[in-house]
Amino acid sequence: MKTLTRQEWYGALVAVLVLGIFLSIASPYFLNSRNLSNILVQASVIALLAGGQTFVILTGGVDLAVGSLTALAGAMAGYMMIKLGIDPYMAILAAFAIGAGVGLFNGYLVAFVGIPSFIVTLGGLTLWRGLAYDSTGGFDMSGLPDPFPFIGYGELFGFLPMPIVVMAVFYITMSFVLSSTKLGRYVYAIGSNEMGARQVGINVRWYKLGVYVVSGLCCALAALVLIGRMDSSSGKIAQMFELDAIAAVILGGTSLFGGRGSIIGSLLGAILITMIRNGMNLLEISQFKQMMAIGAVVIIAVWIDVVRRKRLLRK
Amino acid sequence: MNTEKSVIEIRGLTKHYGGVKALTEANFCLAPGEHAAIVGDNGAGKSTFVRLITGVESPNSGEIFLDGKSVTFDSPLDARDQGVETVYQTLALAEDLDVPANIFLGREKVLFNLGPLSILDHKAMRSESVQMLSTTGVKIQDMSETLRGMSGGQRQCVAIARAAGFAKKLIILDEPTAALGIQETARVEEIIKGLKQRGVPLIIISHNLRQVFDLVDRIWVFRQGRIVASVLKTQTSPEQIVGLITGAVNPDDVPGATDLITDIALFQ
Repeated sequence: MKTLTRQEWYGALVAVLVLGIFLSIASPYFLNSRNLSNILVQASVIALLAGGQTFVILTGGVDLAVGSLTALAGAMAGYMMIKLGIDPYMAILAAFAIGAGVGLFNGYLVAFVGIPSFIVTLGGLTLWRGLAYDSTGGFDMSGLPDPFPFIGYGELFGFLPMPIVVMAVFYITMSFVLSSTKLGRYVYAIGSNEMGARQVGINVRWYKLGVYVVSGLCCALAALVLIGRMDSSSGKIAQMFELDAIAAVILGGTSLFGGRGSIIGSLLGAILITMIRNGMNLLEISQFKQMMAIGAVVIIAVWIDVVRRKRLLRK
Repeated sequence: MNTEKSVIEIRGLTKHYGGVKALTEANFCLAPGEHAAIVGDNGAGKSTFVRLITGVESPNSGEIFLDGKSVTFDSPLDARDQGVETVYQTLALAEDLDVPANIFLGREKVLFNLGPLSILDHKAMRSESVQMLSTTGVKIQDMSETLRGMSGGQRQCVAIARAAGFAKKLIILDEPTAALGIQETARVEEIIKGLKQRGVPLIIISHNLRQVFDLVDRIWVFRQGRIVASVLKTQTSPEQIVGLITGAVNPDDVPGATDLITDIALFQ
C-alpha cells in the first residue's frame, strides 16, 4: 500500500483541512453541522460530474461538455414530465439514455474518428446547450413530480440528505470500478501508455469510447439530482459546471496528462471547490472576485500538476 | 536439422513493399532451448523479419512453422496466443501501474467475467507475478510500486519476466539493452542467461556483438534483405561476423555458414 502522503489525493485532503480550519476561524457560521451538510449537498452535483470526468481525464482526454449535457438531460427530463406529462421514471430513463447517447457520440468521434476530445467536447459545449434550449422551447419547468422532491430534499433515516447519499453510493461504486475492474485498469493503462496498451491487446478504442459514455451517464445522474434540488428545470441549468468539475478532478491530484490520479481525489476536489465558494460567500466576497478566485485556483492546480509531472519524468 | 525438431522454422519468407525488397526468401530455424541472435546493418531486413514473425505484418510469401505445424499470424496478439512472446523496444508497459498490473496487462485474471466490468483477481495476479519474477530471477523490492519510480533496467526485466512467464514457444527480444547503462545491461544479460539455463528458446536482435557472443548459441546474419549466414558462436569470431555483416567476407568462404539456410530451402 502506498503511504498516505504519497497518495495523489493527499494534497487535496490537506487543502480541505487547512481551508476548513481557516474558515472556522474566519467565520462563525462555517463550522456548524447545517453549513457543513450544506457544503456536501452543494458539492454533490459537481462531485457526480467530476466522477465521470475523472475517467475521461485518466485516459488523457477531457470532457468540456458536461455542463451542457447536464442541462440537456435535465431540461429534457423536465420537459417530458411537465409539458408532455410523461411518467417521471420514464423521464429518468430518458435522461440516462440522452447521457449515454451523447457519450457514445463523443466517444465515437474521439476514439474511432480521432478528433481530439478537446475539440469534440468544445463543440458539444454549445451544441448540447443550444439543443437543451431549443428542444424545450426555452421554458422554465417547475414543480417536478415524485420522486424528484425526494431526490432533491429527502433525507434518508431522517437526517441524511439524499444528494449526499447518492454521492456516497456513487463514489463507493466508482472507486471499486476504477480499482478492481478491467475498465478501471485499462483507463489507467491507456492514460499511461496508449500504444503499449494497444500492443498488449487492450481494445483501446472501445475502452476510450466507454469513458465518454460513463461521463455522459454521470451527467444524467447529476442532472436528476440538480433539478430535484431546484425543483425546476430549464435549458439554462448547470452553467459553467464543466469548469468546476474539471477543477475538482485536477485539484484532487489527477493528472491532466492522464494515467495518474484517483476517484477519491475528485470527491475531495469537489468538496474543496464548494468550500472555497461557500467560504467566500460567508466572508461576503463579491461574485466577481469569486469568479477570479476559482479561475486562479484552476490555473494553480494545473501548474502544480505540470511541475510534478516534470519532476517525475526527470527521475 | 529437421522440421520436427525446430521450435520455429521459417521457409522462404518474403516481404516486398512495391519495388523495395525488404526481405527475400529468408530461411531460419531455432532448436529447442536454443538462443539465437539476429544481426545485420540498418536496413538489412532484421526489423521486417521480426515484424513478420510477430504478426505485425503479413509476408508476401513464405511459411512459418511452430513445432512443425504451419501457422499464420493475423496480428501481434494472434502470434502471442500461439506462443510467440515479444518484448518490444518500447516495452508496452504502463508506467503508472504497479508490477503485477503490468505483468497481467491485457490478460488479467478475473473473479467474475462481466466483460469490461470483470472483477479483477488481485491476489492471484500478485502471487503469480511474484512467482514469475523469481523464476526469471528478477528482484523487485516493492511490488505495489508503480513502474514510474523504477529504472530502465528494472522495467526491461519486468517486461522480460512477463514474456518468459507467458511464452509457450519462444521469446523475441528486440534490442533489450539499447537504452541501458553498463550495470543495467549486465543485469538484463543475467536474466537472459537464466532463460538459457531454463531452456526457454529465444531470439535476440542486437547490435552489440560482445553481447551476442556472450549470450547466444547461433548467429544469423542479415544483409541487403537476405539471411546470408548462420553460424555457431563457437565456430566464428566477432571479426568474421562484422565481415559478413558488411559484405567483406563472402558467406561461401565460411565453412557451414550457408548449410542451414540452403538445407531448409531443400524442403520446399
